[in-house]
Amino acid sequence: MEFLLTGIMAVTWKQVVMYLIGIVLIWLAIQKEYEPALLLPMGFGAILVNLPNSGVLNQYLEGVGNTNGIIQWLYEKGISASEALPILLFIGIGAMIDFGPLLAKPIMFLFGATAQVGIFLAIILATLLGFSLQDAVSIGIIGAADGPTSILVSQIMHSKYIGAIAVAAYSYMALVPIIQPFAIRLVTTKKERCIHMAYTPGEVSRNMRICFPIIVTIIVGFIAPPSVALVGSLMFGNLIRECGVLGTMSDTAQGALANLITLFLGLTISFSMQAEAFVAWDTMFIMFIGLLSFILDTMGGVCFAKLYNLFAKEKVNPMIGGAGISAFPMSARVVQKMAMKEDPTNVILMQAAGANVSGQIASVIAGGMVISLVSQFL
Amino acid sequence: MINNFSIDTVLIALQLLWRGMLGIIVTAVLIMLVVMLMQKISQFKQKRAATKKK
Repeated sequence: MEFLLTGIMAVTWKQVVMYLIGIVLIWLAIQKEYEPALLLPMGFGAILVNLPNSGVLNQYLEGVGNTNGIIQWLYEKGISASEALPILLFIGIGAMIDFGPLLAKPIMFLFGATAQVGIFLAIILATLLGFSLQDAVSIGIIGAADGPTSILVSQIMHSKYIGAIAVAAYSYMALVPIIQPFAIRLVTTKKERCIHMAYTPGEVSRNMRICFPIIVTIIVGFIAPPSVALVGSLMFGNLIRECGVLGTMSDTAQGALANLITLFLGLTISFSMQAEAFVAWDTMFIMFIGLLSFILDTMGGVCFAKLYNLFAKEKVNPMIGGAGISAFPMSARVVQKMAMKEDPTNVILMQAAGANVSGQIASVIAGGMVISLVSQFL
Repeated sequence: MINNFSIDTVLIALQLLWRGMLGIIVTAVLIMLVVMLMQKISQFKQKRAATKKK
């Protein structure tokens, strides 16, 4: 009867901790509906990869030899070898995004750009805590609130914390409605949160919508070449959406492709959630710095909006600066909700959406920028 | 485990802050200017079409 007990006898306390983490992630996904498309596969994957001698990982079996595990194979081929999964996901994301509010108010680009400052402040903090530059950069990018970019950067940087970084990135994305109001209130007064903004959008022609993804890809490609894979995929997806002649392909990219890759990405990333590496104090530090990065990003965007108000004729509601992160459209909705809470007649959703989509582009540029700069320094 | 603290790494991180933010802002400004230029061209075309009709 001993053979029935070999599995349970081989369980370590760290693996038990991972089962609990997996269950918590599944609970958050189902009960709280926090990013269920990713937290559920990640939670289930965390249990799968931490079962003793798990068949989803490569194993050596006595008398049989080496056997391949599906999750390890997916990780090695889909993330480690080519970063294919996060990059392909960007095609779907690009097809989902309407850049109209941003094209109507191009000044919103500045809010998305300045809201990336938290990433770099978090990188400094991580280096002060003793993380290597590659790990610090991977941790800092959590603040972009952009899961695929976080995974891609940490993979390119060969960070051993990719599992913790992915969990932190997606968890904080899900917690935008809790984290952002707190961060925005810290740096704004009630009077500032009540500022009304007139919405007078510029005209957005079809030609502009079609040219925009091509222009962005070329400009970003010249300035931060390592980000071309990400920006290119995002903009390719958007071009499919806007060209008007690939309706079914656009629907597939937004629906089937995005869902399929999200499903695989969640399961695959759990490969890096193996107990021995994941259950460590470093993971706690990563969660903390990631949270700080997220808060600083939000505060950075808000503070830039306040600075802008010092010189602008028409004042902006500084909260829209906080929407300059990648969590689209959740962040814009949170800002609108906050504005209506202070003054039920205040509608700033379109301006916040403009800042939000600019944050989507800026976070990808930030990812490419750090990869490009770190490779120059090392 | 976390590696040992190194002042050189912190200095590089500080340079990353400066160069990274500069790079992102320059990129954003360039994209913004191109979009604004396209808006102006579009408005100019519309005006010219309206004038021709008259």
